Amino acid sequence: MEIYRTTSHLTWKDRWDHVLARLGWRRGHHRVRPGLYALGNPTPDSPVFVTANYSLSFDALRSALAGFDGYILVLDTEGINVWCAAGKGTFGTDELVRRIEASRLREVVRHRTLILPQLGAAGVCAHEVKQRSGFRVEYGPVRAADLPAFLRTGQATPEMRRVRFRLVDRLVLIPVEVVHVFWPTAIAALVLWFLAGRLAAFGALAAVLAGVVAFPILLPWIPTREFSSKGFLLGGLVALPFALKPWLGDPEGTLVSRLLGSGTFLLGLPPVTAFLALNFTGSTPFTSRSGVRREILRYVRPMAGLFAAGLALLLVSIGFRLAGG
Amino acid sequence: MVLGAISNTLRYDPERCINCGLCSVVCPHGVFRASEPVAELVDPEACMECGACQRNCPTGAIWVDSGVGCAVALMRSVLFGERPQEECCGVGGPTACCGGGNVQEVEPLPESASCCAGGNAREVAPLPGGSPCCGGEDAWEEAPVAAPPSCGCGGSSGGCCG
Repeated sequence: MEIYRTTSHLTWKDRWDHVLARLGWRRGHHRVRPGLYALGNPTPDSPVFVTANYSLSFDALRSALAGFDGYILVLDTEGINVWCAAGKGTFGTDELVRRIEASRLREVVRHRTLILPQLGAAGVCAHEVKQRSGFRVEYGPVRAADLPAFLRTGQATPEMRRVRFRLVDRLVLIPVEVVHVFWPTAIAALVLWFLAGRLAAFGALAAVLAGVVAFPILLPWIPTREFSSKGFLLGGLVALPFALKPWLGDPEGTLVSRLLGSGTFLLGLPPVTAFLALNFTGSTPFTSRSGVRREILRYVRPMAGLFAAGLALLLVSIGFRLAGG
Repeated sequence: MVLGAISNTLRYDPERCINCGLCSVVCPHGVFRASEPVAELVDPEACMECGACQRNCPTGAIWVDSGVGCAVALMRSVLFGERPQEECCGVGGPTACCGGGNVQEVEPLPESASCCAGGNAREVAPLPGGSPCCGGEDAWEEAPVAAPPSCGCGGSSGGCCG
């Protein structure tokens, strides 16, 4: 079995690939060939690191190991990152044991220790790996960047064992969120522009941007615990200026048209933001399935109801306008 | 006495703990802490049900419903009244234990039932690992615990018993 070579150096091509991956461009195509890689000039005593065959995972690992010699065992996770693949089981005990066999790792290194990313633990059963392959699994830190410190001291600090969701971690998720909603939003905004006017189009746009851009940024600072209620709060805030517009910016409006206009925004926009906020639970490193399930049971029906009511008001006001010339 | 969380499905039986220390190593949220004589459950509500602790616990002292839930299926069921498989835990399973559906309202059953860990208390019903089909050291291979999300069932009736 061939041992591939790699370096810690990231080329511009690698970095461009990262940009595309962050944009969700051809998801699942940011892959590294699975197998055993030599980094630097490893000896039979050099450490073995295990990772997924998602280019962002592999590149984070090898670039963090600049100056170290070692082996990198890349599992076939179908281009999915370590944590998600571990959740699915593709970064798992079976694939690890299979890859150890296929790469003849036993003949390449003298020791019997593998360093796995901590987040891979959701898919890997350490004692079973030991039993089936003879290799002891050692869980390294959550982030590859902490590996040099981990290798120096031989242990991970409690801080290295925690996932974080800092502003920068949330910011990098925004592009793919925007890409996901781009076409539906663009079409909806265009349709609204022609049917209901500029304000409605901007309102829809604002509600969506609140959900996919402002929400990830503001997440820790929005009060309440549940994502849906956070989303409703943010969506309500966004809807407010649009709801005030008919009262302040339209001196000729009738009471009915003003009420219809305000109602449309107040009812229609918040659930859009709230729904996108609920969706964002899947991108965070701390929401539990139980929590998401609870939110869906509690909030999805009100979201749909409010949105339908807003839509109904919109149709009524369009009807009024058409009738009134 | 089995310990657990209110807001998620994590259950921990300190009596089965051999203090190998792996749960506190693998948990990304500091739910467990290495301690003496056994691992200490310090922050159960922070659990995100990733399942790393359960998978790496050599004695089956930890249980959590960690499957990948289908949010879309659940949303459809909420909106259109469809009843997706994952909504109901008892489908084809040996025990119809989740009549209530809502975890908060399910009372812990007597120890023989082995599923339906009620969600309300820190001290809850026995771990499903004790049942013949689920848990145990070698259950992981064929048991990707496909139990429905948080219906309070021990998961034994869903995926793992087939």
